[in-house]
Amino acid sequence: MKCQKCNAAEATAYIKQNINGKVTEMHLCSDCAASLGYQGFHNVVNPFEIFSSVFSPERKSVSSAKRCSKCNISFAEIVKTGRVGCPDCYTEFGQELDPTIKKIHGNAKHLNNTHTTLQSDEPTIEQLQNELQKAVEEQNYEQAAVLRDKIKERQAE
Amino acid sequence: MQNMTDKRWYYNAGKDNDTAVSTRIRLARNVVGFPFPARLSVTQKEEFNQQICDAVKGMTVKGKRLMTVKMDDLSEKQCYAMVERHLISPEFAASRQGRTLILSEDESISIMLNEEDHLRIQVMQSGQAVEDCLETALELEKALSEKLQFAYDERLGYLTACPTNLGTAMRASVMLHLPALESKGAVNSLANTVSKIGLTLRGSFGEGSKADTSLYQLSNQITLGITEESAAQNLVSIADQVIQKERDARKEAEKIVIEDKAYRAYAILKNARLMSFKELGSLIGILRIAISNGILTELDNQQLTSLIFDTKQANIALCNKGADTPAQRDKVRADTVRERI
Repeated sequence: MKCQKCNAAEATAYIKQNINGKVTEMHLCSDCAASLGYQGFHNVVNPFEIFSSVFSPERKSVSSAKRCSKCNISFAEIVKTGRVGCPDCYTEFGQELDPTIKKIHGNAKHLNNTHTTLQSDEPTIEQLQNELQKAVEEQNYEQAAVLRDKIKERQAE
Repeated sequence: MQNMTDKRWYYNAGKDNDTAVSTRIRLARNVVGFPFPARLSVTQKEEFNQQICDAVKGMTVKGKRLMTVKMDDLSEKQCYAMVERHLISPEFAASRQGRTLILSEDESISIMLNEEDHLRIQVMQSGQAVEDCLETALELEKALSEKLQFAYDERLGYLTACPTNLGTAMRASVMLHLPALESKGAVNSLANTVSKIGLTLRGSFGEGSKADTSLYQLSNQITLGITEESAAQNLVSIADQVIQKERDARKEAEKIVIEDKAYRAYAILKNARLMSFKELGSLIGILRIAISNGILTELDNQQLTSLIFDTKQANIALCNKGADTPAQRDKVRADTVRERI
């Protein structure tokens, strides 16, 4: 079937509109469909666009102005680009993002298989072992005992 | 062709390379304390890149050393040639300021810095090699995680700029050459079936939605609530089934018909003076079907694969002076094919 608008290209999009009970149907090629504003059938780029219906109007207006305290992105920008601004946005906009995340992933929770927490404030086991050796060499046995326990604790984790 | 390095990964033979062209694993990671790349200035990006490059300095993965390339230092041609070799994304090539690529000499291991996420770790290998690629990617990820703190949440997993990647933030894909299933018209229904079990099958290398070279990417969709290993196993088991279906379909036609098509295709490849990439793709498809049927077995599937990676337009233009128009490139492509086949 040829496109009803340009009559040249093959129609690939079928559009059915129902405006106040008046139903219209069109068969269009992808270019004409795009030129009439019917886009995004095939390219799923912005997950928020598809799911924007989950934000009720009142809530949207309240949330839109809210900004992330870490990276300063507004919720409106997140919805517009489909991308959050920083890792902390997931906490800052937890409530707002949750429905979208659920729509994409369902109720799934991450299954950790690879992640080990690296606590930057805490020394690594290797560092502790070095300190332990130093303490032993300096015959500081009290300190050495503390370090030994710490290493044991960390190794058990 | 000059300057063509035969060290690249796609010259190595892979498992099931009659149908499986290549495997790719991508892991997205972000570093705690920095906004995502879209919200970093060029200066901030460069500072960030320096930190990562320092962390990577002297690192070897599977005995391969990693090098760094500032995208700004590359020409447009070089960048698009990298896109064609699936080394970087088109988006990464389009805007190169503040972006750095870390890669191994054979290009099998790479990290895009400041694509959509801070790090996009990528491992590629010939044939169906999902498990091997995953092992390498996780080894590199682990080595990096000892030096960098990655953004992570107990419930959401690795935190990424786009919520669709949350969880493992892993995309694994196998590129499959499916000429027989395509000519049977079976690809669409196959794509529908795999989409119901959390995978996608899409045209690859094609400019539109249809793969004009019968090359398709089979990849995982689900990233949250599944481990890397389970997602990889699902992909392997479905890839194996698609590969088997393609092999069966290749044997369905009458032998004399396959033989006739194969020798005709071979004659064109051996003699043509101008060849488009599309034509090359479909002729390679015919040759693969022939090899599966014990015809023209002196041809090597891996050699056919390397032609696919080496003869797209930017790679030809990059390695050959005066190959700037489509007709000039068609000539170089035909010459290269005659030389190699």
